[in-house]
Formats: sequence, structure tokens, C-alpha cells
Amino acid sequence: MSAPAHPPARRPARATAFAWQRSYTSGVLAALLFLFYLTRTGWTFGGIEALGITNDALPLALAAVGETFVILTNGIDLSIGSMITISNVTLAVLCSHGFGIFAVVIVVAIGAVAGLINGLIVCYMRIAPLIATLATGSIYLGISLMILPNPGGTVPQWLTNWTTGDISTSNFPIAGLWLILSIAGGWVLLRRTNFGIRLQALGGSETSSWSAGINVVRVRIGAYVAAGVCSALAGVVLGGLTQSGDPTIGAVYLLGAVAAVVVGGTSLAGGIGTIAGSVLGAVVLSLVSAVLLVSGISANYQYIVTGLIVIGALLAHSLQSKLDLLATRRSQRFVRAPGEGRR
Amino acid sequence: MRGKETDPLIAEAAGGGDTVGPAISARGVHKHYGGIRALEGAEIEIAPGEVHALLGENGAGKSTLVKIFAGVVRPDAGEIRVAGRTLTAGSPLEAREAGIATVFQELSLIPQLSVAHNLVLTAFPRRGPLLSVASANEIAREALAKLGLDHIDPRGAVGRLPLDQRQMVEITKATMTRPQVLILDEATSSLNRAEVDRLFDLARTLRDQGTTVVVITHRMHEVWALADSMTVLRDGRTIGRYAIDEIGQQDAVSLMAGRDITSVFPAKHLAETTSTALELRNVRLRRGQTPWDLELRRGEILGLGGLQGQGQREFLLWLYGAGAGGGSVIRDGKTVRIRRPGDALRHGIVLIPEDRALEGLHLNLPVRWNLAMATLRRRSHLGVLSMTAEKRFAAEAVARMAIKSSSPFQPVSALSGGTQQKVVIGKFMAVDPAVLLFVDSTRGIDVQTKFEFYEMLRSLARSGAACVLYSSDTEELVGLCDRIAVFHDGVPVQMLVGDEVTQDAVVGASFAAVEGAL
Repeated sequence: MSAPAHPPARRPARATAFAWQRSYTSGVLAALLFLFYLTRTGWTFGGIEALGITNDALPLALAAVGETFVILTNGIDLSIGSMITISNVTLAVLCSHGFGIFAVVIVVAIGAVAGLINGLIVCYMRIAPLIATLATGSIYLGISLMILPNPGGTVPQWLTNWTTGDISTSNFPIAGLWLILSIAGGWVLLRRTNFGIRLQALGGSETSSWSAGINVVRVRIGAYVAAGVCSALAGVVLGGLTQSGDPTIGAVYLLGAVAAVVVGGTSLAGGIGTIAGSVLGAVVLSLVSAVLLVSGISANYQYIVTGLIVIGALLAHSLQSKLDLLATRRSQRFVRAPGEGRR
Repeated sequence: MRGKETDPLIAEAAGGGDTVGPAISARGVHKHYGGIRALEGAEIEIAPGEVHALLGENGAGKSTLVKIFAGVVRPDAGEIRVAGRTLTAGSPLEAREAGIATVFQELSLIPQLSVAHNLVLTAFPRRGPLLSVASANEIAREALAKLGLDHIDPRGAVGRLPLDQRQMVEITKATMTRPQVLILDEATSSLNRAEVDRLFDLARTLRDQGTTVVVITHRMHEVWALADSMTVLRDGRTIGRYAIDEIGQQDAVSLMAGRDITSVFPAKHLAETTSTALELRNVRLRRGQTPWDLELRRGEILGLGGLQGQGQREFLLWLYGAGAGGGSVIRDGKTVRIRRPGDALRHGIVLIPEDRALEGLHLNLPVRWNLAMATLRRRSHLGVLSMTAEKRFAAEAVARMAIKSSSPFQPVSALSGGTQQKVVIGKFMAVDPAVLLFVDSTRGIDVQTKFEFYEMLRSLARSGAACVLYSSDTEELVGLCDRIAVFHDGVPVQMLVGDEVTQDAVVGASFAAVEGAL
């Protein structure tokens, strides 16, 4: 043997496995919560229950998907709640004036513009995303209150049917279908388009991406626009669900979305994450309220339980990275220093 | 023999007449970083199909020039032309389109992505409207195989690869665009001999196919092994352009330094009565190995030799409490426990890390706080720092280490690599260490700073410290060390002392160890 100085190490962890492993936590949590839910309902799970849970999860999941894009770039979007609100109230007002399907198109465009403004401010005014989106979020909320100061307006039945109704023949909730579609669409967008790959690259290392010739600004703005569009869709779904507009509706979705992203295994440091994880994270949070409901526990405890679950999920993720690091160490020739493998 | 000076070179070029223009050229390039002048009218001209070396100390402006070529840094003034076309400054994309590919000193790969993703990042293969990961993997596999890197899995995460493999992936990435001009900036600094040979073969192949190759390295023998011609830079200016056979290594070094360096290494200190600083017993870096002993002596420089990756680095990290391993450390007859770097520091053991930016510096803070970091407690009462003491301390440390900065308040990120190294060492010198561990400290440092580093290391030893040095540069180990422990597979298999310390002996022992073990 010709004594290679570097014997081929056992195969290193695959890059894609990185991101996926972290999303397992949310899948396992969702499954466990669902089982627990079933024990509470006496193993009955019908169309009504499915409708309730998926309708609850869909707007949160959409918000979480949007937030995932931004968090992947190592940023954060705190205006998500306000963007949901502005699209929700605009939808209600436009529908009241008989815009029909065009109302949805306009609302999505508004979401895109709101996201674009966020992206432009972050990229060109070089304001930290946290502050920039906190400010724009406040502005978007103010505009929402100008559009619709009090809950009201009407959203037509067809929109309800298309967003949160059920496919009448099979009792299958249409929101469930949208959840599955958002997972599939998110996967394609993130893993099979240039935008997605560049998004991950940007989150991994901005300078490397830049020197690789990636238009960093465009990708980052794209992430904020995607967040705006997703928030707008969430606002539309909420319109369908409540059949009206409400200028206070978005507030709870901001922290819920960030929590879902974190439970779903997306790293707040950017670069690592999955859409499926975030959607499952949203399902987990919805299951928490469903479980509390069927257990007869006051919904007021929901926030405490949610908080505990977020902390638990973070612990699980860090445990996972440690195990992962251990496996990598074993596959390499020598033990590395603590922290060294995390570069 | 001061070859051609700058002026005739420009005159010649300006005179026109050449039928074949240069592949790449730079005219009057200026670049300032704050108060530091990186380039002051540098001129360079490289003919197509040659391997050209850029020589100069750190701070001479080589890396800045290369970054300007790559479009990563925008010059304050000057013109870059590739194959006769003027490049827009500061556009990595345009530089790439003009056929410039660069392997940077700092790795530019994205650790979270797979090898294949990194390789095809900006030219991802498609199948229909979507990207195809399968064909990306296939393309990556072929590209790696072409460079003899079959052992690297294209699906593996880059962040999980050892440094040298990452470097090879980096080089693969640069060659994938079939560049007109391939720039290797310190590309060999983390490679072993076989890999360097492979890289050089590759560079020659590319040159023979008409690619212009620009090389930056601090290992002088590599220049004479590979390059056809060279440009020497000093203080941001071009000193001259030379063909490889019209200048010797010693002359080139003198040109870079601006003076003659007669002897690079300080005289060795042959202390007859050295006392033990640390005794290491039953050391084991890997499970199931025979434990071994080692003695670190006051006043000497102990080198860790052997092939790269034979456990030298791991040994130092273990001793510093930053890596795994087993064994006892005995200091003044007492066994001390070192479980974390804090313990090591308390016992007077310091480690100068190899990756300054990541492990040794707080890039966001000014020079003075970087220097103060390890000894803050000494100059504070009840947690409140004494500013007068801090001021005095910073002034002393800057003077002692001869740190070149415009003021102690300058952010350390604005300093050159060699100066940053001094800041790191200065910080640790403040704790009055008894044992100093150096992990490849001269990697990527220019000749002048290296020389100062050697002098400093020797004077540290002379003042009674035990210095342990791991370097991937054998010449350096041989020139500097009193004893060399040749490592193989995590074990020092041979100890060379005094006159036995020669380049041949170290290299011989390194390879003998490998063969003996198989």
C-alpha cells in the first residue's frame, strides 16, 4: 500500500441530511401530540376534527413558510403579523366592493410589495432586519387600521370553500391539501431552483456567496418578497376562515410563525432548514391547542405549553447536533477540539 | 542583480509592438484600507500560458491585488485588463465571465451545502424547469475524478470535510469554469506533499492547455518548482518582473524584504543544563494506542515533525485542554489537571492558534482590548477596570511586540495577517507563560514577519520558556528547533536532537515511520 497521508474517512454526513434531520423533531412531536389527542378523543378522528386542526394550522403554516425564507438568510421578519393583517383587511374591503377573484390577486401583490419594501430597506439602507421589519410592521399595521378600523367587511363563501372548506365527497379538509402542497412547493423551491440553492448559500456564508458571483442583494430581497407573499396568502386564508376582516388578526401569528420555524428545525443562524419542518412545526402548535381543548384545559395555558415545546425542540436540536458531531468525529482520524467541527 | 526595474517594463509594454498582449495586467492600482496602504500603484503584466508567481511579504499587497483581479475588492484607482479588455472594478461576476478563477486564501466554500452544490453553485444543471441534484452530483464526481479526488463524496457536506480536502474542493471549483486565468492564493498552505505535487501537475497541465496560472505562496521552493516567471511586490509597489532563471531564491527574498537576509533563522540555543518545564506521562491521543511519555524543557524549542495530520495538532490541543486525549501532565513534581483552556492558562500553558481570525482574535474590538483580553482581571478592582493601567498595559504590549497599527484603538480587523499574529501572541505573553504551544503559526505569513516571529520565538526560549512548535513547513522546523519529535499516527516515533536535526533526517524519519507501520 502506498501509504496515503489521508486515508479516506468514512463517508461524511450528507449535506441534505443536515437539514432534514433537524426537521424530524417536529415530525415526531406532531405524531406524539396526535396520538395523545386520539387517546383524549377515544380514538375517534373524523372530518370535523381534521377540519378544525388543519384550518387552525394552515394560516400559521403559511406564515411560518414565509418566515423560513427570511430566517434562512440569517435574518428575521417581524412584520409578518402586520402583513397578514394588511392583506386580511384589504381582502375584506375589496370583497365587500365585489372585486371577486381579483381581490386575492391584489392582496397577494400587496404582500409582495410589502416584502419588497422590507427587502429594500434591509439591503440598501443596511438596517438590521430585526429593526427594519419591526418598523415596517408598525407602519403596515397603521395602514391596516386606516383601511379597516374595526372588524368588518365580508368575504364570500367561495373563498371559504377554497381555503378552509372540505372536499364534500370525502370529508377531506381542503386546508390539509394546501398544507401538503405547501410542503411540496417549498421543497421544490428550496432544493430545486436557483433561488432556493442561492438562498441556502447566502445563509451559509454571505461573503462566499458574493465572491461566487451570486447577486446577494437580489436573493435576500427575494426572501423578503416570498415572506410577504406567504403572509398575504395567510391573510387570505384567515379571511376565508372568519369570512370577514379584522385589523387585530395578525398579531398572534408573528411569534407563532417564528416558534413554528424553530420547532421545525431551521437554524436561526441561517443556511440550514426545511419548509416541511416549518409546516410540521405549525401543525405541532395547532395540535397543542387541540389537545388542550379536548382535555378540557383552559386555552389560557396554550402559551405556556407552546413556550415549553419551543424550548424542548431547541434542546432536541442541540442534542442532535452533538450526536452528529460525535459521529463525524468518529469517522475522522483524530478527535477535534470542541467547537471546531461547528465551523 | 536587480533585474529589470519597474519603469522599463512599463515603457516596453506601453511601446506596443507586441503581437500577443498580456493575459492579464494591472496598471497603477491603488488601494487603501483606512490608514493602511495596501497597494500604491502596483503594475503587473502576465503573459498567456505562463505560471507566474507573485512574491512579497504580507502587507506587500499580493492578496489585495488578487482580490482586485477577482473583482472581490474595488481598487481606489487603476485599471485591470484581461486579454486586452478593461474590467469593471469590483464585480466578481464580470471577472468570472472574463475567465478569472480564484482559489482564495480564506476558503470560500459554503459549509452547509454539499460538495456538489458548492461546485455547481452558479451553474446548476437543469432537468426541465427544475434543477437536477443527480446531474449536479455526476458533474461534481467527474470534476473531482479528473483531479484524482475520487475519495471525496460529492454529496458530503463541505463543513464536515477536513481542511485539506476542503482546499482541494476549492481548487476543483476554480478549475471547473475552465478559466483563462487561474489564481492560486496560498492554495498549498494546508496541503501535504502528495497533494501539492498533484496540484502542481494540474497547474502545469492547465498551463500547457493555454491557461495562465498566477501563484501566491510563501514557500519559496514551490515558486522555483512551478513558476516560469515572477513579480516581486514590496509595500504595495512593483519592484520588478523576473524570469525564473534570472534570479535565485536568496536574491528574491532580499528584494521582497528590501534588504539582504543572510540568515533567516536565529542561532540555536544549545543549553546544556535545561530543566524540565512539563513532564507528560502515558499520553494517548487515540483509543487503544500504546501510551508514550514526553518531556518539555525550559529554554528549548521542541518541534513536532512528521507528515501532516499525524496527530501533532491534536497533541497540542489536548495539552491545552481543548481536545480529546488521555495522560498526565506533571509540573514541578505535581500532577495537574487540564480539562479546559482556562486550566492550561492557569498553569502557564498557552496555545497560539493557527486560525487567527476564528480562535485568537476578537475582530470587532480594537488592538488594545485584544491585547488585554487574557489578563483583564489583573488590572481591575472589584470588576472595574483601571483605565490608566489599561492604557499603560496597551502601550507596553504594542511596544514589546512591535505592533504596527495607526493607534491602539484601531480595529484589529484592519491589520495585516502578520500584525494580527503579533496581537494574538502579545495577548498571551501578558500571562507570562512557561510553556508556549504554536500550531502552524507561520501559515500564510510573509518572510519578514516570519523572521521576526523566529527571533521572538528564540528570545522567548532564551528567557526560559518551553516552546513547542508544530509547523507544516519542514524547513522551518529544522531551522528553528533544538529537538524534533517525529509523529506518526498520534505517537512521537522518533526524537531528533541537536545535530541530528536536518531536513533529510526529518523527512526521512517521517516516511520511514509510515512504511514501518504498514
